[in-house]
Amino acid sequence: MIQAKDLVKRFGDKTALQAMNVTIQPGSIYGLVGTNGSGKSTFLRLVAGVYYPDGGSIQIEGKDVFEQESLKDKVFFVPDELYFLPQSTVEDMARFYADQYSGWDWEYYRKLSKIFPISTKGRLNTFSKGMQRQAAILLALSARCSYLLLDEAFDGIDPVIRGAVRRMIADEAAQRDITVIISSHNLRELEDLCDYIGLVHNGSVLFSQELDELKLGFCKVQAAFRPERDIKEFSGLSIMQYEKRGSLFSMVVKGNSSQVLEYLEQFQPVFTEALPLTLEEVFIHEMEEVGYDYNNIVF
Amino acid sequence: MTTTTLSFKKRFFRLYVSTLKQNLGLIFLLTAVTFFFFPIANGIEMLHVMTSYRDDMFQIVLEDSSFYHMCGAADIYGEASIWFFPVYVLAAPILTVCSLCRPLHNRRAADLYNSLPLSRKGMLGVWLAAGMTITAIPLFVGLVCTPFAALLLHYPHFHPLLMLWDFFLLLLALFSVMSIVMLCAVCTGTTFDCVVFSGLLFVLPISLWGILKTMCQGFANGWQISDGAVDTTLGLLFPVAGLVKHFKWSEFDLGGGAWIGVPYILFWAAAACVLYGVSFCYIHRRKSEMSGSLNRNSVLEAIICVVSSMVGGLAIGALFTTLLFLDIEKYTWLSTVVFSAIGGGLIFAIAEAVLSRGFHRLKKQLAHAGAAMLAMAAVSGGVVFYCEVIVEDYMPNFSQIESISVEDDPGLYKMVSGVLIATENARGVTYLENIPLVLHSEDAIKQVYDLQKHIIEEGNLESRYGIDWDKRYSSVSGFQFTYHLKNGKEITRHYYLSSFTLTEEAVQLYGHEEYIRQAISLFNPEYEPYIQELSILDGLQLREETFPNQQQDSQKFQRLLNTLSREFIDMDPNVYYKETETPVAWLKYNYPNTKKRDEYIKGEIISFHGMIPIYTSFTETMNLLIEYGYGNLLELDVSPVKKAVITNSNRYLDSEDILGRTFIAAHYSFAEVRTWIDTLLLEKSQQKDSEENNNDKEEKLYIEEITNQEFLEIIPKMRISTNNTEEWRKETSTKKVIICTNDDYIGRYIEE
Repeated sequence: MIQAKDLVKRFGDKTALQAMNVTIQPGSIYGLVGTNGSGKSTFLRLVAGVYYPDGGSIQIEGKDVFEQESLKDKVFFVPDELYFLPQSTVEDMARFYADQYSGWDWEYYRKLSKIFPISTKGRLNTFSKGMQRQAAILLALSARCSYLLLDEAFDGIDPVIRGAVRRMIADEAAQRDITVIISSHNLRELEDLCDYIGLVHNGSVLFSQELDELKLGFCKVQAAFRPERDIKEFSGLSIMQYEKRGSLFSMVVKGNSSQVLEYLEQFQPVFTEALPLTLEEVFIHEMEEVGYDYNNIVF
Repeated sequence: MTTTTLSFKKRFFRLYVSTLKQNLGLIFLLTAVTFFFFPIANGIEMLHVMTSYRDDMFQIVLEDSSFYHMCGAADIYGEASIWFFPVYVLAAPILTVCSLCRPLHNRRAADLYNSLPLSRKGMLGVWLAAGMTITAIPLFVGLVCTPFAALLLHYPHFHPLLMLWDFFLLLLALFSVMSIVMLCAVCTGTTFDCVVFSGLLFVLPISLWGILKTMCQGFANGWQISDGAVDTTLGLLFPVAGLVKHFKWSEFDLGGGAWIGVPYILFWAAAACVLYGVSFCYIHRRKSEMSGSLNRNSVLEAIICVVSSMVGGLAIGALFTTLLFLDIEKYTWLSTVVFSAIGGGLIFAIAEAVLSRGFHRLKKQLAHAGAAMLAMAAVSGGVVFYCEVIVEDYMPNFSQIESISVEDDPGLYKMVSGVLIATENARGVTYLENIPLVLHSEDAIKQVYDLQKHIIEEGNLESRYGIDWDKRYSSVSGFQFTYHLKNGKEITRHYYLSSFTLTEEAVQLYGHEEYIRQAISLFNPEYEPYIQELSILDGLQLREETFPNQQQDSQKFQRLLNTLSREFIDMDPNVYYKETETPVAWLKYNYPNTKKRDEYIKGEIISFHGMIPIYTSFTETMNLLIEYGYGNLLELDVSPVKKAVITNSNRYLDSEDILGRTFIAAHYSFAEVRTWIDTLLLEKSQQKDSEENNNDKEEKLYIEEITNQEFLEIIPKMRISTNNTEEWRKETSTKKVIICTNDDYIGRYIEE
């Protein structure tokens, strides 16, 4: 289990994380979403033991991570900006990590090498961004760590390999019960992969929930009334967004869809329909709630 | 799958090996450079040594190691190597540490390394071990190859064990230098800062000391730091000074040994351990976000900025004060303070701009720059005050003085060509070294003490600045002495004594028996057996007879020396220092220099050559000379003089060689000089009219031949000027006479 308690990290005058509290269950795939500069990468670096917290604590299995070799042996961090040893190949990097990680699995590495369409003998500095990212994921999976931290995991990878990587991570999580934290702006990817989602904004977690629960907590409803109704009449609903076109209401509402539809029945609608909400829509609506709304900007 | 957790040792060793593999290119580069400057350069020098001797000398070469001129305790390093070592020891760690500590200066590399399951301390340990290995391998290769080169070239003398010792000392020096670079690497966020901080840490302490020393010498009249103190300070302030000393000054000729410079190397190795301790403590909590940023340790940054401002400010203050040629003390003081303050502020601003890569922080730092200026004004003012008020007038308590060593040039050394002592080095080889006179008697010490007191009370400018050109004081000599106090401390002072300010105290010191017996070792009874012969010369030094120190004449020889020394000691020293009398004869001695250096006895004191004047007051000496059959030399005989000319010019004659104390210039062709004088006379007659019309007295050439009668009349006024300080006295008005014989010529001053 990864647990952050009142976690604070400052960079000079700027506070990147302010009293962040989050608990990530073991064996889960945790998606970390948030706006640019919200503190996702900082959080991952704190979990990886790269940064030392300025306040609070970050613990894995109940122990502080920083400078804990035995804990860090179980954690593999793939940062957003990759770094490889100068003039090194994938093989060189594999040897480098194999020297340091107890769980390194050469057999698995060979197996994965055949799956990823990259040359393990080619110099990494000649690789494209996506190929470098593939190499990093290949190395990360081969280390066979219990905690895998992937920052901008799918950045630059083509859709085919993205799918493969998703499957590999899901398999790893299922078979070895590893904990994966993925930060990404590609919410579609996370939606397919993650069990849990944490939304980070301004250095703190707005919510951290199971994905299904999260999606169930919001619904998009369309309903038509005759005679026409005023939106104020639906005061029993927690409406996050609505749009009215004639007698047709389109609303994003917090809560279970069946409960919402049941509530609307009392107004004798001509037509009602509940639609599932995508993670991206949830994200946008949540961000609007905290004032992160650029829809009304006129260019 | 069951996995065994890797131990710290395994991870450490694996990362160490991996780091070495990554830096193979650097190892190769350093080895290539070292190979060129170490075995190859040494081989070339060995070849040079081996081919420098003729075939018939070769056997001697093999038997006598003193023929070799290789350096170092191991006798195998060439000049190129011994200068290469310090450069290598300084440069290689900077290059290596910058390459190894990339994660400390690169944000992305920091992500990789700091997420590895190895602690920061462990990682620093790996970098230290790898850094030492990378920099040591090239030296080791050189160490192994050099003996092969020696064997190949049949160079017979080198000491393998001492080579290993040298290698160990080189490793210690590398360890020390690396500690500074590594501390800077840990405390900074970029490679540029690391290099700049390392360079400044190497240079700033020694620069600050150099500037303070220069200021003290400028403002504290007479203050002098002894050579030993200079050596010690350099050794303690500069991490490779000990190494330079070890290799450079353990050259064979100077008789060094394996331990030269070692205390400084060991001191720095100990200091390095402390610095590593600081680095290891600091890296444990070093913020990874420092990597690749302009963040740096604020304490180190403050130290660098403050010391840079001090060095720069004081240097600018001293430079501008020198450029302004300020003679008046109070303006010198003011100028130093003002320019140091301005310089300090300026250097602070420059340092700030360099460290923050621009001037955007300068506005914020203006208050600090102002503080730097104020601080510099206070520091420079404090230094000046300390020098002028405290140091300059300081004299030790007389009762605390155990002895005084005097390095007096010319003093009585004017009569001899240096006093040397035979010293045996660590390898049993005897060599000669200059020694100062050491005075132990209370009255001799009192003479020096009173002399310093007099100088402090007088505060004369010529003593401070040496030369006052307006007064034509060009005859100035240095007088340096060191008080050896009973508590073990030493205080050294150096003053300039001009001919016009040569005080009674100084003259009396020169007449003191203890001083004379040390300066003129001919008067030391222990020295007598080494003298094979003396020469007696007439007053004009035209005639010369030898007095051999043979078995049958030994008593006569000793009697003459005893009598001469007694009369010399009893005479008024003003006679020879102020040249109030012309000697009637001279006693000359030459130590036979056929003796090889190895044959000197340890502790033997030598003065190779000397000329002792015999004045009319030396009646007993003259009687002895008459008794021994040298009476004819005491009588004036001008028959060898073929021509004599009088001149007033130094512009046409090389006064140092002809008119100075060099009375026989055998290396000059007499015919050449005589022709030259004739030519000058001719030119003189041709230019006579125009010269007479010239009102500028100094420009007038005065040279004319004199008659025998005129020559006889000026003989009592002639001075050989044994005293360097009097040599150029009254340059524009003193006439000189040049005396030509059939096969020689001599120059004399004429006292007006």
